[in-house]
Amino acid sequence: MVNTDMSTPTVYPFVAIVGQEKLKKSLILNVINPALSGVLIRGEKGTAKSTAVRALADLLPEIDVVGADPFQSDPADPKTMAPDVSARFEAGETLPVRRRKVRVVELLISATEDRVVGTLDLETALKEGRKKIEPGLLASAKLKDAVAVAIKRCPQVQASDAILFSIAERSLQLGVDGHRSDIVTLKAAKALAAWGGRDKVTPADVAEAAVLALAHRMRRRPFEDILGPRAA
Amino acid sequence: MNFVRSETMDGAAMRRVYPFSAILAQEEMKLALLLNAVNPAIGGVVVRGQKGTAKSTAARGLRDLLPSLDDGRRPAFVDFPLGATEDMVIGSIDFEAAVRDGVLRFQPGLLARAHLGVLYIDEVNLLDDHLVDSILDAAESGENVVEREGQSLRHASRFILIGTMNPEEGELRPQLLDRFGLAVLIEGETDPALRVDLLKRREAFDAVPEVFLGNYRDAEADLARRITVARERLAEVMIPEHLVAFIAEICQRNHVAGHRADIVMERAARAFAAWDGRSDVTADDILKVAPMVLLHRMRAGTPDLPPPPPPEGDAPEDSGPDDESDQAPPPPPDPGDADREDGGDVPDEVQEVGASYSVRRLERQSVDQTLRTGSGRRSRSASKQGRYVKSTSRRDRNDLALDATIRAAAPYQISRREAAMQDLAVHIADSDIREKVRERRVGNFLLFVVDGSGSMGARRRMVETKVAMVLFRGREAEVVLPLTNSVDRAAKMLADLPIGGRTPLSSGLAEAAGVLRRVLGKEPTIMPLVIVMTDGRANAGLGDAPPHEEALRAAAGLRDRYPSAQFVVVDTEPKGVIRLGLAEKLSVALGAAYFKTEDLRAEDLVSIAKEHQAW
Repeated sequence: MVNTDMSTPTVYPFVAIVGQEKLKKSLILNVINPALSGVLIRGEKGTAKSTAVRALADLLPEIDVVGADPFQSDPADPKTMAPDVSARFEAGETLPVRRRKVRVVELLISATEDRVVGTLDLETALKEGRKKIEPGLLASAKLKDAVAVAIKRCPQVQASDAILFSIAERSLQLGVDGHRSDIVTLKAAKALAAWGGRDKVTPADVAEAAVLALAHRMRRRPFEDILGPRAA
Repeated sequence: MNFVRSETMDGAAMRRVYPFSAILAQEEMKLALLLNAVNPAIGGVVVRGQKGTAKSTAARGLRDLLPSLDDGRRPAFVDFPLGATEDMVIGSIDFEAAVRDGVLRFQPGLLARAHLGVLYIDEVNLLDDHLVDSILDAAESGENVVEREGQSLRHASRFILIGTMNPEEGELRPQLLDRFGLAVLIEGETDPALRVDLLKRREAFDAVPEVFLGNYRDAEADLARRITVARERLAEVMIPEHLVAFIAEICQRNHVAGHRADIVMERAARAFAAWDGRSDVTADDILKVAPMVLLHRMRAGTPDLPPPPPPEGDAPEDSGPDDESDQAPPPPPDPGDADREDGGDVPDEVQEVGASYSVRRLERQSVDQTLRTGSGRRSRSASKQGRYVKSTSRRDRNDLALDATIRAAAPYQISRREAAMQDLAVHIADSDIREKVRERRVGNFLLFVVDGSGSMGARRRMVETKVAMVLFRGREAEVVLPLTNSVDRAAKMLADLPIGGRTPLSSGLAEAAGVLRRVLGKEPTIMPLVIVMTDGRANAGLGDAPPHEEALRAAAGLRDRYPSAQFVVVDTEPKGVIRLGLAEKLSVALGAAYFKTEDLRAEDLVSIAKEHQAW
């Protein structure tokens, strides 16, 4: 049996996850630019899916919220404030500000299986991860700084027309539905450039972004997995 | 308490909405939306097409162009949640008021909230039919009628209805589709330069929305003004008599059932003239809007539009629309597409529907019992499974609908509390008890997978149920009949199927998998019966593997992936020749019941279908 102390949940460190580079990269890119609107992680049980997501909390920047506001309004942006907070703001009240970490919130669909899987994950983490926890924590701080720098840099990243055309043509070539693929590929490429410390998107950024942004948008023939890609 | 996304707050202040005027291309969709803004009585738009083509962006943007209401409020934008219950849609008893004050007060639903605004239903084809029905009733009559907890009430509910659907995810029933005024088909842009422009705009909007919105403020104001002016002008727009006849001719030519198309076309043409700043409808106005009126009401293909009639007075009286449509009857349906190059050396021929097959009884599998209603399309479920759609005061299943029970009891709480001996939190009397009415979609889906190759010389038989049909011949398979209730069409199609060419069996099975995925995606509890009619002599494959092996692997994949489906293989290998037994192997791979054509004599395929339905 695993003894889990509920008061101090032990989270396996993000940097201690071995492999799963695409998963880790997509999560980091979403932290850099939340407008990427999420990651769909598809994979077998026990492949560090939820571990990575929970660990992500360590990398997230701290944010300011209005104290005691259940909607956690941003004290600096009146446009997104909850109605009563907005009213207080309009009235010239100095809003109490609370600084806190961004949280990872889990939505349980049907609790049982997830719970069990979660416990097993924790067990794995405890059994195999303990030795890595110490160095992991040190590395986490560095990674967190790098993410913070990339978040700042991301809005400045530029993409040339040639880059934009390469994105559009790729979508057309692959026969992806609609335009969301273009928009997301560009955002992901910009986040990748920011992550790489660059101010301009490179073709390599686009190539890497496309892998993450297009895979689930491509049309699949029903038996592609059974009969091979040529059958598509 | 309320999880419905509804934006009644002032314009874009709360949410930054991408401006309508900044949407590139998609002209037909934009026009359809604008015409509905000019005259909501057109009856809404259903936008058919791929994801990611600015459908919801346009719908949200349209709301921002609508004039403010008389009391100064901005029109509502209601984003319809797919999981909505009937109570949420049409309204219910205000529970709080009932408990607190003991009064019955109406709690308005989404139809009330959408009044004078936009009601947007994403993926309307995935919504339950009965909800679509209530919404369309309101859209058409302009009012919502509520019968609830002994209360009867009606209120105005006029809104611009915008539905979207991706036909790949399942169709909307034709009679529901028909009730949407207009339909447009949209696709992603294929011009890279246009895509790049679009990408730049979106990035600019996301980067600094305020600046972007500022750049389009004038364009937005122009559009909004034009809508207001067109609305005012609409009443005086006239349509000459000969153009009314022209509309009738167009509808007749395209074999549109009923009169809704005529009415909508006239309204849309008048709205278009008003939008264009004119007070007289021209033939061009009609031709402009006709495709949007006809798209979802025609059987298939592109609309057949006659040339505009000569101006009034010039037209000789005797050349009525009837004559013309008689001269140009539409070509008969050719589902098999006989012209397609198919690499076979056997010429196409049409087979007669043959004599009845006889059928052994299928082994029954245990399935929970369901009560059936008249239509047979969907059944009210007697078990406690299925979606809770509404409540009833009829009690026979001990399936308590707590919410409805409490609502029914609510108004009496004050009086009961006074009269009661005990101090209970809620006083519930026997008469308050409500039970859940659940709905499950069941059975009766038949998927025919028909071998149309030259080797297939079998007789075929039609069944009375909801069917779809996949035909494989030549190089590929296609869904020649999408899911339908029309037995006539299916029967006709089965009788007229052209045959010839090679046998791409795995392609047929792959197409069948696609149909199953779509149907089960929409109706997860349906139990499909897949009838594969073939001699099994696969000789054209999808990949590099030998076609026959490939087909067997595909068959096993189909079986594994759709465990709720039952399979039947009807071996059409003719009697008298040396049997290869390939269809039998196929039936093993599918886990299918296997019949030879000669076994099928005394009864027929109808029995299989009826057995299946009776489960």
